[in-house]
Amino acid sequence: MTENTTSVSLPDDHVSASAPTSPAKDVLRRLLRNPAAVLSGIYVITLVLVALTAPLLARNGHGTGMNGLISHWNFDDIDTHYSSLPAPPDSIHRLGTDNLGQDILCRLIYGARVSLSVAVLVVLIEAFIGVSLGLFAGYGSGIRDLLLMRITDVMFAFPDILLALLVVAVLRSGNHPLPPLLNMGGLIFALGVVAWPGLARLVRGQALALREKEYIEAARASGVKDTAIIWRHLLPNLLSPIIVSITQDAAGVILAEATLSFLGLGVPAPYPSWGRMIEDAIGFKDTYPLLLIAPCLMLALTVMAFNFLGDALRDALDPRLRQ
Amino acid sequence: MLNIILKRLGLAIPTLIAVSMLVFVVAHLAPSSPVDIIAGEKATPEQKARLAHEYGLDRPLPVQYGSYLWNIVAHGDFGRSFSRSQQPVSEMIKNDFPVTAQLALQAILFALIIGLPVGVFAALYHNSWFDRLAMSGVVAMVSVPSIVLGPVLVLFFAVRHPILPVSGWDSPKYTILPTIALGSRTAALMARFMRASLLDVLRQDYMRTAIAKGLSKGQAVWRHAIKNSFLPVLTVIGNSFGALLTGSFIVETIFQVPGIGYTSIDSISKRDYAVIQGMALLVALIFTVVNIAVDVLYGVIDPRVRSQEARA
Amino acid sequence: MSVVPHLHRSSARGRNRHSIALHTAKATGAAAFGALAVLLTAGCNTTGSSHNSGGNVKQSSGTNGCAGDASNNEPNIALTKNALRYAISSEPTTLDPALVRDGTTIDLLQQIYEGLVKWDISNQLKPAMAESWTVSPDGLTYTFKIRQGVKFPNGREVTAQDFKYSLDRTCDPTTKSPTADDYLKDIVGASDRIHGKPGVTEVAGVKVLDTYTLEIKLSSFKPYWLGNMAQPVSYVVCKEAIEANCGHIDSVKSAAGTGAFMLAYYKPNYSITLAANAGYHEGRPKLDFIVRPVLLDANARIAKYEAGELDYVEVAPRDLDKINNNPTLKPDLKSYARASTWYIGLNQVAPDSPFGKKEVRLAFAMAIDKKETIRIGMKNMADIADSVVPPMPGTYQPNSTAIPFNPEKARQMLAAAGYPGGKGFPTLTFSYRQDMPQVADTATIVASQLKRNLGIEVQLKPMEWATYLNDNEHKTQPIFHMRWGADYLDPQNFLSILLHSSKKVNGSEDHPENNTGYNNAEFDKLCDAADAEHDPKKRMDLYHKAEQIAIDEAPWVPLYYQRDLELDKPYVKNLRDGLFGHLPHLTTTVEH
Repeated sequence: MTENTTSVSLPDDHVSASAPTSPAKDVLRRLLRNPAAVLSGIYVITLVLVALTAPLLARNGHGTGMNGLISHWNFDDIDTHYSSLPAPPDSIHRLGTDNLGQDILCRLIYGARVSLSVAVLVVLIEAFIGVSLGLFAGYGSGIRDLLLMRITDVMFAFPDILLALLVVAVLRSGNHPLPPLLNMGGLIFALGVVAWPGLARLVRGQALALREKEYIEAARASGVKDTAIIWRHLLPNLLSPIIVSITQDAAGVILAEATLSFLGLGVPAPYPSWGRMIEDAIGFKDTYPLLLIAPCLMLALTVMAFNFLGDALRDALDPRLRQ
Repeated sequence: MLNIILKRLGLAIPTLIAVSMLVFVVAHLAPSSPVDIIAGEKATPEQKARLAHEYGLDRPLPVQYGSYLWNIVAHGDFGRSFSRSQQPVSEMIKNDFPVTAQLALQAILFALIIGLPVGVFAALYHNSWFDRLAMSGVVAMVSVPSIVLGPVLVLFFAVRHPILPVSGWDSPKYTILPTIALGSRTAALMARFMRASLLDVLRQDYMRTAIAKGLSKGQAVWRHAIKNSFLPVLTVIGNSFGALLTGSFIVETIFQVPGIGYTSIDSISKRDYAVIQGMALLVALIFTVVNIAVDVLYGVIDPRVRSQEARA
Repeated sequence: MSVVPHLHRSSARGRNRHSIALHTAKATGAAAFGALAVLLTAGCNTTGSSHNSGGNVKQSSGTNGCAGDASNNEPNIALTKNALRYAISSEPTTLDPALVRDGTTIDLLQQIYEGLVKWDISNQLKPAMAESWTVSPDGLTYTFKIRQGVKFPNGREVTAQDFKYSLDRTCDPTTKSPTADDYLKDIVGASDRIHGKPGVTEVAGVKVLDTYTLEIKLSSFKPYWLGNMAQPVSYVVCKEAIEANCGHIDSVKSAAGTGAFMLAYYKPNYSITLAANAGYHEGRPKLDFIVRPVLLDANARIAKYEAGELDYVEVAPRDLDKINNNPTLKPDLKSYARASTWYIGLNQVAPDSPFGKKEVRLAFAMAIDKKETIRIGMKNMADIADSVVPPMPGTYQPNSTAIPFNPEKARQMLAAAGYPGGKGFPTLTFSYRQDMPQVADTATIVASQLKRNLGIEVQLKPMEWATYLNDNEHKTQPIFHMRWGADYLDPQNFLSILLHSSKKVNGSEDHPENNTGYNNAEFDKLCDAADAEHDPKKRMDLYHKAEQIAIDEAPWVPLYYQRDLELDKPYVKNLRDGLFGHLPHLTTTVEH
């Protein structure tokens, strides 16, 4: 999404075509030297673990005693015991409940699940479309290239969020079985559809530059097949910029999901999503600000962590870019 | 220069047509039609079929698109909203656009006022604690999305300390929170860019020469560095305009600002095709014009760019 | 931010009785008003209203003239304190009574227009533009005496011919009225006109007998039919004003009616002002103005109410926490009963639906705790529903005995149906519209009760409204949460329309709203007998019997009767309310 690509290109900041792929150890060493990257990495890894184990963390609900870390979130776990809702934090619901008696901490955890799975799937779609179209255009004929550039022109002449909203609205209106995953499927499809042009252009530019390189010319002259050249020479060289671009885009996707949910066109109620929780909480901002602040904090921290990580990866993968 | 502008404008027309086609097709791919909404919850299938016929929605898609395009070209007619008292879309655009433009301009101004000084000081005191703090702040600000910043600003400045209105767009004080919510991200980018640009200039030989010639560091910075480093920053303003326009969709919704973003999102949820299409075309037009303007500006500032036109 | 003077008034109008002061208004940008300033007043665009389906998709062009209203000035209500200010929560969908169908806009238009009859505070039909009427013994011919001396804003007297014009206009297919079918199809010849039957140019059943006498013939006996004449679709509209505006009602001038107020100012996205109609036939309203700022955000509306900028404001159940915690707001909270039932539909004809078994339906009905649902989801601000038909004081008081909440017995029922402990029960989708928070809340709570009390897992399916309706109509939703609001106050509007099994009546699809596939011969027979019964007392007895059958068989689980919630400032007095909403503000006063 346009709103959050942090890779502002500095005047001399063009990810170089001939970026030497440093050994993984080198990259890791450089990453570990960066405290922001380390903190972000720890945060992201924790978040992934939490999302993966959400059902375990959320085992055993109210009323039956406290065995798990926090009470279980599900539709059957509306806590009906409170006389007034939303309820403030207590020993069962560590962050309190929302206006229906649903545990906020549980919803945050399941929200992480939603955010991260959407991010991973969208980024995979983006990488698939972006890399193949980018290579297709960059390594192919002039006509292919022209076609791709014009298509991306159209996509760029337009705010992504508007197109994504439109696609979601259209998909939403279809008569699909819309359980949470498939419902997110519409969301994932929409975000994937609007996410690829940036990456495609990046890959195309790199491919254009690389194919002029002598060793590739040489390989081609000696009769190596195009697919082999792409797999053996182009892709390995493209890996660094792709990884950097994708990490940064992940932050954008998480944000886009939250934004769409916030606008009522993402994950629908009552399924948990941070954006949705923010939207729901706005009505309670004067009476129960925690309801609003908790998802805001999660969303901001997560986006921030991915942004730090993306920047650090860029620096680590291509030391020449460091200022 | 004029040639480039004309060429770019020429290229923009097919792009705009493609955008209008894209939006039209996507909107009409929806299995349920606006008739479902117009006819309401008690309508029978026959009633819906009749209304679809009266609205011309039962015609083949290409015919509908053709007549849509023809009405725009021949009559300047973008159709009428069915969810907002049959207003012509052209009227809605005329009403909404100035609001969005004002919001975007204020946000850019805000970004300049905050971002430039921070960037300058961060560069002058390179690697100082201020520099580090500012650059961490930049990443933080870039990461705080408007759906978080907006409600949090409201919480602190309209609910806890009710000094500013929660939402609306009546007088200048109503514009403060939306401007900050929209502009803070651009401010952070501006700071980062200004810093990088100034650092770049400070390393140049002529700066060293100037200082060697006896200008004090302060004089050298003011006379040469800031001026030279500011020019590239100008183009960032253009570049961030697109992001601002996108951001205004969300900020306008949070703060109930009656601009094109708010109207578009409202219309998407109401399936008001004519409005969605009109607004999308308008936004695409703004994007295109701003992009061309930025490229031209860039060419003016940096003649080297003029020759190599392939910027991604 | 600029302050731009409004345009001068371009022409003298019939409504100059109230000296509406000119003043300047704050605009959000110079061009916003600049746009209004360049409104064209070219000639009519006749192609826009021709019956040509191959022509324009959209009605008429904004630049072909007729789109504007040069005489649209905001009255300066600061000069008078005698104005009622309440926000309109969405942009009015239309100013044309033939096109309106949403409650928000109806509340606006009912101040401006009037029909032959109207609902009053006791929820009975009372004379409005008709002074009196007679019905033929067979119940097929209605003869209305039109009130004499009532004038449109342009000064011309309203006659029977205007009603004929208005009904013909509504049924004209090019008017595209979405409601003409619903409310006017019982009139002889109306369907033919609505569906554009070749050669038909008017509604045959509507006749002008003399200047002040109108006759309407029905194609079949409908004891509840007169209620349709109180619908916006039957309001009388002003021919000259509409024709001067190319056939559209979309501007201050063309929105000319005979109601208690007149539209004085309308700027989309900003505000609407109504001014008292001094010539109103029941006497001038107590208020001078009604001001309706367009405020789409619920929180903004409440904030403005708190700040004293609004005199009353609608609120949603979600706002109640805030209101109950606020000692200044809490005493202002009022609730008004509506003729509308929210229910859970258990659809027997959805693919693979288990609801064909009565035991399954009963298990669901016993497992849903209505009290808890209302307590959590509606914050107790709704009346528990034990019947299909909501109470209609003076017409029908439901007296059916509901199935009591009993989780123990519910589990037994489910086991008897072959699903002990919920085992083997299919995972059903539970559909609801996603655009109303309290609907999602209610559905979530009911789903949790089904899980807790029956061990059944349902799949919640929030849906976009239009798609939801489409599915509902095709009867593909096994469980759904929905509402039915009365069109007129008669049990026929609920029982015969929603639960009768026959699809075709008189060759037309008369009962398409049976979205649960409920089918009971005894119920059908009782409804048929009641629908054709002339004696009101006997009719209601038959409906009572039918309703008890429907409750016992549980095609529906009624949850609650709707209540509209409002914060009313204590100084707002004599707000009249009916089961369809507030009545026009004829008696309302504001005493600051």
